[in-house]
Amino acid sequence: MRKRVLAMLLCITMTVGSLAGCGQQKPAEQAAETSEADANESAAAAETTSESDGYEAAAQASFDLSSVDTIKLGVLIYDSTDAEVVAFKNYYQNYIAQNFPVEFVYSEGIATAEEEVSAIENFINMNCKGIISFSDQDRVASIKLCEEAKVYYAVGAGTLSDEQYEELKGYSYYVGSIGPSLENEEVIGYDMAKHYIDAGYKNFLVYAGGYPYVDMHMKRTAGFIRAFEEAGVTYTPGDNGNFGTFAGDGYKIDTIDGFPDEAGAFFGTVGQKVGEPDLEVVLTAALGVELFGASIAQINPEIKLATVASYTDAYKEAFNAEPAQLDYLTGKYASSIGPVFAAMFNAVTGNIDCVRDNGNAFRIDQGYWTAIGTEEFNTLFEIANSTEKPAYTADDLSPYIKLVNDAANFADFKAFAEAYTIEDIQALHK
Amino acid sequence: MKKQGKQFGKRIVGTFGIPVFTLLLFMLICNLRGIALFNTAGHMLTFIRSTVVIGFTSWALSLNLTSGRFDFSIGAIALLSSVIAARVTLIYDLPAFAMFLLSVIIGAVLGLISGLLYVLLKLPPIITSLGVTLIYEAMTFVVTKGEGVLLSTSLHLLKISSTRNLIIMALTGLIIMIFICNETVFGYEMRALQTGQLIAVNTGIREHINAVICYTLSGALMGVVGVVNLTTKGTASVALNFSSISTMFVAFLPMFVGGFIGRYSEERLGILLGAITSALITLGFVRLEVSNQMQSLINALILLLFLIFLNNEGKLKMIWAKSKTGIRDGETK
Repeated sequence: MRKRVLAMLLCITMTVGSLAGCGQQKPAEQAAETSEADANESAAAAETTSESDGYEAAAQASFDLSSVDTIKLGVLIYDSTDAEVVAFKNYYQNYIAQNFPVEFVYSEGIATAEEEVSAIENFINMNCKGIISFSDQDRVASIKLCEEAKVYYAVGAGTLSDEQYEELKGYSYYVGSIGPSLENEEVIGYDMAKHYIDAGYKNFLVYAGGYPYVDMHMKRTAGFIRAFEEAGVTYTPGDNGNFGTFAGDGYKIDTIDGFPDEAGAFFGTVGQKVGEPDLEVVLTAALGVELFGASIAQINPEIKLATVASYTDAYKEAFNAEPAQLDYLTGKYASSIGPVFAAMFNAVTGNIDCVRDNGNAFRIDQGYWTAIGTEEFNTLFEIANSTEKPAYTADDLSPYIKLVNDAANFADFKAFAEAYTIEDIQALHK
Repeated sequence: MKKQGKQFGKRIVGTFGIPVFTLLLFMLICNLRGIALFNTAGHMLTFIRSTVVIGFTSWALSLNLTSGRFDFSIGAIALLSSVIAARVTLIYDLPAFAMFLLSVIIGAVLGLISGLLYVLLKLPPIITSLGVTLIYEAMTFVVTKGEGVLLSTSLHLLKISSTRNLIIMALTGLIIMIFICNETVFGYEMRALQTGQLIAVNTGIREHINAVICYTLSGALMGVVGVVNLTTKGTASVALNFSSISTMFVAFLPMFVGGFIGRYSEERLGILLGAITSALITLGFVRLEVSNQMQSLINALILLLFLIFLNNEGKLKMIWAKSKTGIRDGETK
């Protein structure tokens, strides 16, 4: 009897909770809430910034958008435990949401196209006006779904293929994409390998990540392959499109791909390959420290480790260890997603025209920052994680937001978003 | 005397047959490929480490599973206990052994909480374990602010997973488990409850207390698994949405092998030998450079074949007996 009562209570609680979380407010209630929010805004902002994770001392925006109703934006994320996603959320939640009248709602980690569609449907039901996506399970289906539901959609960190872009660029509710193109992913892999080839290293271990199933890893690995082939090495592709083998010209290049298993075979393989005599460099398409840091530290700390990651505390620790566990990092910085927010904010406030590229959705290339060596990493880390002045502050974004600057236009926005290098950011803040 | 010798031989074959066969098989395959199964100290480390991780996970799972309680939370306990232990160790600059002890104790406490929830809520254990899994996974996120733990820069902590320490862990774990399950009142009551719960309860055995102790012991065992995993990888990522559940699946083959071997010797020893078998297979994959996809397929096939064998053992014995009778009849004629 007790179990039935408990089960019924749980069901009722879940039903009430889901009903409370959904549904639209009446205009009168909205207006009342808005005026109450206006009255309490400064007090709430002070309270919230004191709770915010790291952005407490950040300069507040010099503009005032208090007359604008709070707009709900959905954010699709691929893995809520990923350090990069945590940094993105922190920037949006604890900085952007404190300076703009927006409320962010985040999805759970998305691993399949079905989960992505389901998350979008949830956002639509929650009355989100726009969705910024860091998930790429099925962008075409996602954009079409948002078009039907009249919800704006933007790609936060990534891009569409040429065919996809041609198909979707005319959609009224597709805002655009800002992020590294797949060509860019190939270039960063090429640059990474070339750096060490030019430095005279001959003995490599190449980690291809989720090759051939993860596009980014495949492109980065393609960059490694191109650099080695230019150096005179012969690459033989594996069967069924799998990662192949290298041979020739004085180079010794071993390979590994895949992800850790529960039984320990992957780390056993890592240990075996890191323990190979005369290994000099480990090039990784991702997860360098997570998968190779311990083995390198224990077996041969002199090995150079290069990876694609982000400017987080874990990597700072690795760079600053004695001896340094990491030598080369190419990665994104937390506030690189500022420009795409600016574009989305224009869209949801009725000003999408100022971010249209000749009437179409935009596709803007934004690359990574590369740090070689501890000193350079520490410099970039400070800028990437500045809590007083993030790389893109609210004031940096404001000239491209129509509600703040009536002269906002796409040409200026495009030039701004494409100026992503560290030198560009430093010039922005001078 | 002859009969006793035969019995003893049967028990030896039954106990060590599977791991020895697996060892010889992989040595042969590696030999045919021109390599040795155990070539470097690193290979021995891989083998011992897999044995410890799989063995302790199997012991932890078997404590509850054989009593009809499916516990999905053991992976989350391993992760959370090691993460908290690592954080405390790094903050207070404690030695490696302290981190190991902390992980075991915290694992035991987490297991205790899990057991108490099962007993107090009186819900099916599968339900409570799912809820506990979600809570513990969320706690790993909160404790590390979503960034996980990095240990690869603290070399003195990584040494917990040295070959010598892992062998000590395996042997100590085996002695403790055999003692607890065979020489204590708890072990006696646990076996009574496994074989006939209603009768055992009617004789005065308190099932709830036994269950709570099982959960606590299971948590302590997973604390060991957590710290070994953490010091192997040098990092621990947080888990959400049941992603820690996959930890338990490595335990199924050793558990079934342990049950089979348990007829000839002792079940906990059988589980460890099952773990050794799985570890030999893992090392074989490493030496033969088998792809991840093929590893998963082969592991699944091995488990399936063993289950088919277990379920048809009686029929196979009949066929064997008939064939022997047929041969004897043929010889007589």
